[in-house]
Amino acid sequence: MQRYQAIVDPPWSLKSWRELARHAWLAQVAPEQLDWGAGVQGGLLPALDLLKAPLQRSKLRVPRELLDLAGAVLCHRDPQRHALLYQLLWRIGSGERALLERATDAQLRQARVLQKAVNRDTHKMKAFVRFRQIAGSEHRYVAWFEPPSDIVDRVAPFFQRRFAAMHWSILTPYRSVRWDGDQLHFGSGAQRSDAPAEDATEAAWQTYYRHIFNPARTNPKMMQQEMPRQYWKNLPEARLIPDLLHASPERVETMIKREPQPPKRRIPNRRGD
Amino acid sequence: MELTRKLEILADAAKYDASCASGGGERRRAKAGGIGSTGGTGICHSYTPDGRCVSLLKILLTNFCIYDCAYCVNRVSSNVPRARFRSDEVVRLTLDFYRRNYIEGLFLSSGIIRSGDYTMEQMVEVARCLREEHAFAGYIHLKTIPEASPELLAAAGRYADRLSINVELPTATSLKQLAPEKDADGIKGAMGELRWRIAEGKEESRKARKAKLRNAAKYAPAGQSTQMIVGADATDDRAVLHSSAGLYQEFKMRRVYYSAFSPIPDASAKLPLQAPPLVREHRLYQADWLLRFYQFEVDEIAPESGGGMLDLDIDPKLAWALRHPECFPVDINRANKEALLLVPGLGTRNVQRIIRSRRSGALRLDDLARLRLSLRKVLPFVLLPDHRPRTELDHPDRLRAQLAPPPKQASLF
Repeated sequence: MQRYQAIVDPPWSLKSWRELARHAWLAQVAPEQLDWGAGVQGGLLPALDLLKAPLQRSKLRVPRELLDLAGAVLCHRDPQRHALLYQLLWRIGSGERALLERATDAQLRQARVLQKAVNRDTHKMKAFVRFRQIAGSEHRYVAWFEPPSDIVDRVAPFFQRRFAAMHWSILTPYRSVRWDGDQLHFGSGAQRSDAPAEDATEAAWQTYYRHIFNPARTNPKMMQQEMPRQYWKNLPEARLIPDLLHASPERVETMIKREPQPPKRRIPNRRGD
Repeated sequence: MELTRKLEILADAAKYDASCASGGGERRRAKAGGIGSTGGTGICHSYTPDGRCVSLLKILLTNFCIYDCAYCVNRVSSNVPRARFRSDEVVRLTLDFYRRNYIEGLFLSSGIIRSGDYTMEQMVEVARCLREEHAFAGYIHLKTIPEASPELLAAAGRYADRLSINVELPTATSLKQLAPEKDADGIKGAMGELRWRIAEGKEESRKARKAKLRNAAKYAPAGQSTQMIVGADATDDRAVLHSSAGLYQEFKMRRVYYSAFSPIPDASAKLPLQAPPLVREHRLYQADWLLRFYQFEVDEIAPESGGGMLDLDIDPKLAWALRHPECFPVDINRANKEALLLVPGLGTRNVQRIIRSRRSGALRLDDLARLRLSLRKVLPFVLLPDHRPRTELDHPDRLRAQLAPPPKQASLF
């Protein structure tokens, strides 16, 4: 069996995966013949570059929904993702037209689990990016963020729509993006020290966080479920959490034990008096 | 007074408003030279250790108040420290927080100072300034003062995504007792006015779209909501839910929020000493969900025979199923959507997945196990080619004991 190798570049790119997967399908390269990604030399025989495989057929039609699924799954860092998507494509192309309807299919379910994780990461990135203003320039902001999947390209348009009038950058370990008021520019990864170390408004934000919290309703489990610990180190408000939780029981105790107090100030006549 | 001190006092004063929703309205992107966007669903930018989301900057313009509502931390007779923001201070805070991606927008409420109109005018000014002077397209929720004049209500809806008027307590009697200056009829009158304004706004923007006019003014595109305090009076769950059902029907509320009365600093002597368990609030939200999305009636969820209170140890849908074993088991491969929705542990999404999946072949136990659901809860109520419930349904009491979590010793307070 001839083996082939395909490298999606960059690994989260739908365009790149789509071209390779399409070529593989048209060349009738079955999923078990194809290694996705560099260095995964599984077989004993050297793998050929996939694009050297001669085309055998001319038609491939897949539902739009598969591309949506692939767009999300490709952002996941699971090393099997490219192969898993190709398996789904192969099965759909081979006649299982309704595969994407079958939520209980084991392979589809695996892809849906990855999709769900990426969608969650995407949502959390929209929520947890924290910009810091560059000192002295009113409209320039930089954020340092550590996303658990390769979603910078996917999320950048959201920030573009929202912060159109600002000039901002989001730096992450694997990739960065900058908006200059006109275009998005993608670049390589960065370091935490490339972003400003502080922003004066964070103190006000922490004040707000401390005071909107109701000590009578502590529910740290719920909080962590929605705001996982991995994000805490880049959230200015998260460093307050231990102290807030620690002080809560005593604050509530004081409120409950306190006898009703007569008003200390004179109350003007009320309506109808 | 320093801005930080004001922020402390006026955030403290705002935390008893349950809503932090920032979704359900129109989709917007930033305007030229401006910032702000809104999407279909809101974003929770943070969570406080009480497990509640922080989506909006939720503050009071002032916590000075001429009213004396017993449940309220800001009532005139309370000794909490007082503060008042200038409108430009709120505008500034909102923009500073928004630009750093801390929030989706502003939820502004206020104590009543001087008069309803005076107060409402100040709040509307904040919203106007954000929209008109700063081209702010983020989310704005204004707590509306029922006695404000029609002109102010009209202006409020032009700038805000959502308006809300708190019904405060489930019955007019309780309101009279605990909030003597508030007027149940006035509250309902204002809700009715918001209802027609919202409907009219929708109609106008539909016409404008048809005529291909852009920038058609919309009136509160995310609709109106309200909040009810639970546990500060003796009203039972059945009456609470009847009251909510009425609010949904009569005023087309997008949401009724339930706020379990919780200990407040400087509490009034009129309040009960013991706060209701938070799980009561949770069960009310679940029941509310069943009313809105599962076509249940109040009498089915909280029957008179049940003493008027929801079970605290099991959720209302499971409780209903145990009262109606004759409706089960439901055949996963043949039952229609409505019947599947009745199964405890099956939500709308899983029902949808089941209906899509079974088109390409009958589902078996293994297939069901691959959906994310609690088999323990679902299996006694469903039929599959390789599974049929045994005699569990003949003994609802035993089944209940199996499914209910063991009682906990520790209470939350």
